[in-house]
Amino acid sequence: MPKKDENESDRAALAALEESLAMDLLTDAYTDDEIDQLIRARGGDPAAIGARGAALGASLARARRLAWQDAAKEKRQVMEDAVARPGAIPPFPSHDPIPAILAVAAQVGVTVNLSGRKRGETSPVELEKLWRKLHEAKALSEALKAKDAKQ
Amino acid sequence: MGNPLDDIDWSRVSKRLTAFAHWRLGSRGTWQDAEDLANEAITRVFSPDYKAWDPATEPDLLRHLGSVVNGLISNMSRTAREELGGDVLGEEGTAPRRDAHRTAGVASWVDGKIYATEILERIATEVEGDKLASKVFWLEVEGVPEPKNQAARLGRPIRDIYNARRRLEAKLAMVKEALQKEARDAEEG
Repeated sequence: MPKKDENESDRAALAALEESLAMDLLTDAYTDDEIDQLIRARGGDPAAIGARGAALGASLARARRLAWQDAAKEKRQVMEDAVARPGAIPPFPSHDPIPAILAVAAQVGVTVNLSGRKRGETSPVELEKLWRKLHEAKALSEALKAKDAKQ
Repeated sequence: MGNPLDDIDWSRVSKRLTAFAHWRLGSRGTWQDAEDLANEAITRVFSPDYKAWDPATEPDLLRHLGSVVNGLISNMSRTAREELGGDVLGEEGTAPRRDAHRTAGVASWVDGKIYATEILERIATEVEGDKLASKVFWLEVEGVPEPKNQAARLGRPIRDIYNARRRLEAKLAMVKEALQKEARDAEEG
């Protein structure tokens, strides 16, 4: 009986030989017609295999092209949920809102230049809009971070 | 820049990959098994859960898919060996369990006391009369498996090497079939 080590190395050599010869099927060592003939000769149906393979490839390619839509829908839903959450947008501090606005802008990483404005130059409506936008951005940022941390 | 998986002739890829998988499975699988393996490899190449095909590393999609199929077959073999509990060759002088060879993935395995050594020795003898096929065989054994490298080493056109490899493969199939028959006859005798 061959020694176990010798047999294992011969097994590896034979496996490598078989794998190498089989790889020829994936190259121009065989024409497409020869592949069809080989499949038929060994009892397979090349037309049926090819048709199913074409359908699978087309289906996977289509799914890949549409995958971005699912990701975008999911992100939009996260945004809508984040902003709709109770407390996401605190009440507007109508008395001296500018320091509070600048504070939340800093948290979100947005530069808001109100320092040069005299009080009263920017209307309360505009300031409240800005307050809301900044808090929406903050809520979204936190929601997306939480979603990424879960994955 | 488009995705490298766009504009692929999936019918052609599927046929070649299925033929490859069927060849690699040998007696261990049916055409359905082979097609399942090919389809799994194709599905994985689209899936973000698996390492993407990188044309910069492996320009040929079919070779990449072939290596995925090889990996799937290796995993099947390893699982089968684990389930069978160790060395499927069995003790000296005994035949292993009847089902051991079917999925254990020992490519050289044939029912009974057949070892790779015997197969390789027989092939070496059978191809002696075919100079080019014999040279290709020994290059393979020495670790020079690529046809283009074999063509360069032997100073022959690649088409001659492809034809020699087909003759070598035919000898391999014949030797394995002959040894299987001998083993069956010995068991029945």
